[in-house]
Amino acid sequence: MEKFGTARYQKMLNDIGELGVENLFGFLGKVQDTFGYVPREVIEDTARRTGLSPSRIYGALTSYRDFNLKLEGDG
Amino acid sequence: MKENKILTGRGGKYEPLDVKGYEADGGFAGLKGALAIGPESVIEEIKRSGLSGRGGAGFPTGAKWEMAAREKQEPKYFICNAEEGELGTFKDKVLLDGDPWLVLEGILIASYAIGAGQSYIYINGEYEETVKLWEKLVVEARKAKLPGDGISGSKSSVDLQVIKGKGLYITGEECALISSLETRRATGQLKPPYPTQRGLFGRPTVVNNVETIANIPVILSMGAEEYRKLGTAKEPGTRLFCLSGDVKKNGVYELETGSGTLRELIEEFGGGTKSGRGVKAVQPGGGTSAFLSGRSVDCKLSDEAIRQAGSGLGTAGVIVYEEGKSAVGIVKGLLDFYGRESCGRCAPCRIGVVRMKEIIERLFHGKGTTEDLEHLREIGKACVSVSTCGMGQAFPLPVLSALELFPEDFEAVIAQAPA
Repeated sequence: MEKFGTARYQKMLNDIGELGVENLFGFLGKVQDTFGYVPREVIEDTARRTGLSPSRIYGALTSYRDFNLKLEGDG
Repeated sequence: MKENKILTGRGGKYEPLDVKGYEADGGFAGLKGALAIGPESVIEEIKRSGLSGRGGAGFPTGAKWEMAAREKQEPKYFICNAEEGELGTFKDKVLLDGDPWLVLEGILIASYAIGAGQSYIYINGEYEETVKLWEKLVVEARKAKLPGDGISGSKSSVDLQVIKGKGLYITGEECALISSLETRRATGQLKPPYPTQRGLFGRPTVVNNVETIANIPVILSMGAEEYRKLGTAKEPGTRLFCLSGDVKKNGVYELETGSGTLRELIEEFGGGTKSGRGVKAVQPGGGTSAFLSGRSVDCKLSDEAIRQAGSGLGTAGVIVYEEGKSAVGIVKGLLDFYGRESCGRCAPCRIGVVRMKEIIERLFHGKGTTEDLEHLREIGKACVSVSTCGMGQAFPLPVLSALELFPEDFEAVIAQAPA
């Protein structure tokens, strides 16, 4: 698990090429597996890039057992 | 009774990432054949083979492909369902780990046959090593020169996304899986429209189970005629039987349909029950299939025969329970699981599973009444008839069959209850 950083996140975005609705779920899964959670700024940024609303992404993520919005044990 | 390993025979013969090893062992014959005869003939061949889905519902694969291929909308999507969350089912993992190129070849053929632009493989998140393997496999596949590369104008014919599931049982249901890939809550959906008409992002989509897909290259390389000679006339081919529960040896055994009986499977391959006592009950098709009593274990290993006996072959996850166990405890365990996993979209399943769980818990702790049994039956039957998806329609089946087959177990716990 890595500490969340903008540079690392940018690299992940570059690796995936173009982010769209077609690869968003897989990408968010990678973010979760890399940092241990999906930070708020990632929800906002991916929403901007895909044209979905942040609430839609938030609603989806909170319904899955293996997605976290906070780092576990971080209050 | 002998195994006939048409799907699992190559397992472990080559290093998982070694495409040359796969090719040297007869790999890609199916894909080459498919490219030579064209998409329509591929679908015809699959229809002729009589292949039906191995994910539990048993829908004819060729017919599903044809429905999607006929749709005019573009792009189309192909999804390989490797979520495999059903209780007592662990056959897809054997194929994904043991012969990944076979599964990949099947995905390429399926995508080619239906004209899919993009394909996905959605793997159970608990299979962490398998997910890692498949991520590497796709990189290797893009680098390697595969038959079919370049025909669609792109350099590689492999346009496959590996998706790791996020821990929900319901994502194994095809509509829920599609919702998940759309970054939505995973829930079942009312049908029609079927995914083949309006699936992922509203486009025609085919979702096939891993074992189904592994059959595709095999059928195309041996020919539908030869394939039909395996197994029974109504259900040609083999099934990967996952044997678990109270047997000495758990495992996955590939047998032709109808080639033996449940008893032979349990005794010859499973080494009999753990304690040596008799078989009390069997769930022949995963955790949501109805129980067969120990008296019915002489039925043949085909969906037809098992249906006649009162259950279904489903995912072929054969769970054995030995004598001495109470049906109340077994059913409680199952409802604990399904109660956690109902997606909550439709009322019968969302509410029904909780009410049934409450009743079973009451019974289990010796506080139940005979009226509780009637309520269990009533709620269970309602869920079966009006739930939206396969999960809600199936999870009450073990409960209903247990009430039917083992009433004495339920009466025993009621007799303990204080008057």
